[in-house]
Amino acid sequence: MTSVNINRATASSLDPRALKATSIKTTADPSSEQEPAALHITATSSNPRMFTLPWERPLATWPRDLLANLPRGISRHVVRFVHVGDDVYAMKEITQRVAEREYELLRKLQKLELPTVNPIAVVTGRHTREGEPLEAMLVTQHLKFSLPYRALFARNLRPDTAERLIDALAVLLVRLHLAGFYWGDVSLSNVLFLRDADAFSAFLVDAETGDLHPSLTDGQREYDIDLARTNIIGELMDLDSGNLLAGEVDEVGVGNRLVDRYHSLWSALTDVDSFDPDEMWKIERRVNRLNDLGFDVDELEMKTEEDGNRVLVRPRVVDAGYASRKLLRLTGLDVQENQARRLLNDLDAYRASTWRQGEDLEIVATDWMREVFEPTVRMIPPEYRSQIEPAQFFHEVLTHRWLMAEKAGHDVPMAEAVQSYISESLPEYRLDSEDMKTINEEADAGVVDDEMNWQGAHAQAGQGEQVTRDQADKDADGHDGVADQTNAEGQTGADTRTNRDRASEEVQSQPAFEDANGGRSSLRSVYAPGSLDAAADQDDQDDAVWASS
Amino acid sequence: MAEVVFDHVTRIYPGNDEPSVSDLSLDIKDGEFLVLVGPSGCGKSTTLRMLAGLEEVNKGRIMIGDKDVTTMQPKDRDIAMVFQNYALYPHMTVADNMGFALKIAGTPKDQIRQRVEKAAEVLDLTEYLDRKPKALSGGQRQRVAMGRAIVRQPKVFLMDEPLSNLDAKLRVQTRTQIAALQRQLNVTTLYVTHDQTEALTMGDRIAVIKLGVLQQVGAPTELYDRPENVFVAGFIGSPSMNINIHPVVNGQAKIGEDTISLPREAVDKLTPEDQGKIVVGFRPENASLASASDPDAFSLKVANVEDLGSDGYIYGNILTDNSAAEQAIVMSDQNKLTTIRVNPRDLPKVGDVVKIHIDPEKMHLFSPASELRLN
Repeated sequence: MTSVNINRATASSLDPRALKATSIKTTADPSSEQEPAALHITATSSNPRMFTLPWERPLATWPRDLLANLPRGISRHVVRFVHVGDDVYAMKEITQRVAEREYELLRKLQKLELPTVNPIAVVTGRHTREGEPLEAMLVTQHLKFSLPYRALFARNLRPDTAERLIDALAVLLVRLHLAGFYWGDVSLSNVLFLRDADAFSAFLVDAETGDLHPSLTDGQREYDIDLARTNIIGELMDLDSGNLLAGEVDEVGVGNRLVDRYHSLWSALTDVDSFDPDEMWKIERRVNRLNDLGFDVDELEMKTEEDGNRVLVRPRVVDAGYASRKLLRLTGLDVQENQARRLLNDLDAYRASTWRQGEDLEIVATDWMREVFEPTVRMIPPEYRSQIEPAQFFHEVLTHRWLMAEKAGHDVPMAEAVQSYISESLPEYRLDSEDMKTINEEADAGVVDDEMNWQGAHAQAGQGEQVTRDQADKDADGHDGVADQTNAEGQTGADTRTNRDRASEEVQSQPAFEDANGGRSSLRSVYAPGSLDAAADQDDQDDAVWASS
Repeated sequence: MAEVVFDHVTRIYPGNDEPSVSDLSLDIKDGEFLVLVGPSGCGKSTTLRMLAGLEEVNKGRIMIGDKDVTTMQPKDRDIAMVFQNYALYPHMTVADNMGFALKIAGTPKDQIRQRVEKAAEVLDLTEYLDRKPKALSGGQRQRVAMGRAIVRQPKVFLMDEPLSNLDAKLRVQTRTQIAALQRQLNVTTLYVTHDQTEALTMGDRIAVIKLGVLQQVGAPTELYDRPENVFVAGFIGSPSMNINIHPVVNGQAKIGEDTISLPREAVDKLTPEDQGKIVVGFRPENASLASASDPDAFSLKVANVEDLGSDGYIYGNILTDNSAAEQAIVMSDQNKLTTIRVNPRDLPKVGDVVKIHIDPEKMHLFSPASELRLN
């Protein structure tokens, strides 16, 4: 009873969409913190396979055949990607209080249409078969095609990769701050990146320390920015220590870039402009500039100074995604902002080249989909369908085609460009299984609350690095150890190549990304209008609360 | 090293009528470990965030040392929010993991090494300084994260529920370490928690806050032995205090057909607003089984018993005569049952009616109207 007044009062000024986001409301009331005696799942999905998972085992010991071999980011807690039916879920073992809080927050951020991972469930009341209590789990949907920053650096990418990631993070931070979200732990590790044409889009994955407010104070924003700067520099210094960073990258310079990008974006979005009454065209210029940055303007707040000589204008920016919403409306394709811009440009070019400027854009768009976009993305080889988004593929083929044409001095047919791109550039997308293994081992090196992970390391700490590492490997993943042993016994002298091949098969055969109907179903899952409706329906569903007896 | 002063500080969130923190005056002495404790939404985190510079202060001011920091940006305040999820970097040595923030700040190399070595000594990590995180145990990794805050040598440590995302085992271990560490480093610390056990076990002093209003500040034993009001009495201590309202008849508390004696000076302080009633509180360990003829005892019908080997607990309902005027109103939260700690060899049976005597020295008496302490 004691907390009601304040909570209600604070809540009253929050976005109403956020208020109704979830049935889970965490409190710090100790009596409500009791772990339920039996398994309890609160979920936004009604996937019955959730119940068939081995909740009675610590996550670090889950059977290998349930796990999806995807690169993980650095975390203090045990995280695994798990196949659940056709989906891949990220599971994080964490205390009940934090799991519920983070679930609640992520639900709210989703309702506010912010770029975050989608929360699926909170699982509490877990016990081993012997009755020992286990930590709760937060379940989120794996963001398809996304990669942690370490996976991006593991492939020799363009030297400006660090800067492009920072730009994406600055946009994310500004969007979250505009919505009143204080993060409290901004870093590259707490973000997933999706390719977005020549840039990246960043998605929040870790909201443990976050808080949603009606609006943020300058202190909250500055703290987030300062922390982001420190963390980014630390993360880059770490990559440098591991020889994963191109020699010329200046870590501190990149960290400072975030601060600069953030401030310039924030001021473009929120500053009050002052005009003469006869300079109203400047308002249009400001709005266009915001659209170019990818933001939509919802309202313009205008007032006249007391002497009537100047007009003060402040835009109320709703959100990024100006081009992507336009493309979605025209084609049903749900893609990142820069990808959308590239696709819209191609659509415009198609319209001009087919002499259809007078026709409805909606009708032209339908033909463009059928004649240009779909045939192109259908050519993505099956082994790459889990690695590259169709819209990204299309964008890169266009760029490749342009370069080919420049070299040849004449236009190059699309089909030829696609073939050339697939053989020359696409292989760079493969994350080889050795890299994957390294990334996931590194990710586990910072876990603080999992004995499986460090028991061996601790026991062997006095000995050489190699011994420690081997021991940690086995302990980190019991199944891994067993599988490797069998392999070694069965095929004595088997070279590393066999191992690598085996692992790389696993990387490619993720059922979640497989599609039996050739390219089609993978395409459909991205842009079919039906799937959008379904997504919306699911979003509106109240949380389904299941409890087993 | 610095003293922290909250001087009549108020925080009202935009759009709210009621302040989240109201006219708070509190000082944290140089080197002191102060725990701010209270239920959800009580304003304790808001208080910490005002000190951190994350929340604006609407009225009053905040001092760190002799500097007024009320409007200063967080990074200029020389404070450290301790291990809010510090990540460990796999390719960096333990020393680099602890010292990289100093490197960013341009601290000279030899000074960084010196500070890191000093922190490692305190954290018992000296022999691991040149290793990578992979070679450490979970507890050691957690300590490296603490090291990151320590090497900065801030004036004030701020910790907002730092144990909430650790599993149960690591939580107890880390709790002890933080308390020991703080005493060794002697850095002024504000620690926020909802858990009164954490507060009692860690703090030099505890400040209890409710609905944005400071209730009581004092050493753990002071709060336990002499709670100033009903809220603090019920909040501090586990199992919590038994608190009931009883009519006062002839200077004695009437409990069913029994009466227990009350100190005169407490009864004298009752006012007409108290309507002839008094709040009687006693801790489970401050009452004992009495003989049936004991004139200064009340009757308890036993609902449950627990034998823990070293202690026994009786949970029961106070017998009243069921008249409206005399119905005991239970104010404590333990399933409305009265809890008594006894010798486990003397445990009664469920369903028995036993007599209970309260140690008069350890009785806590409050006014029902003001909820303030009377004795």
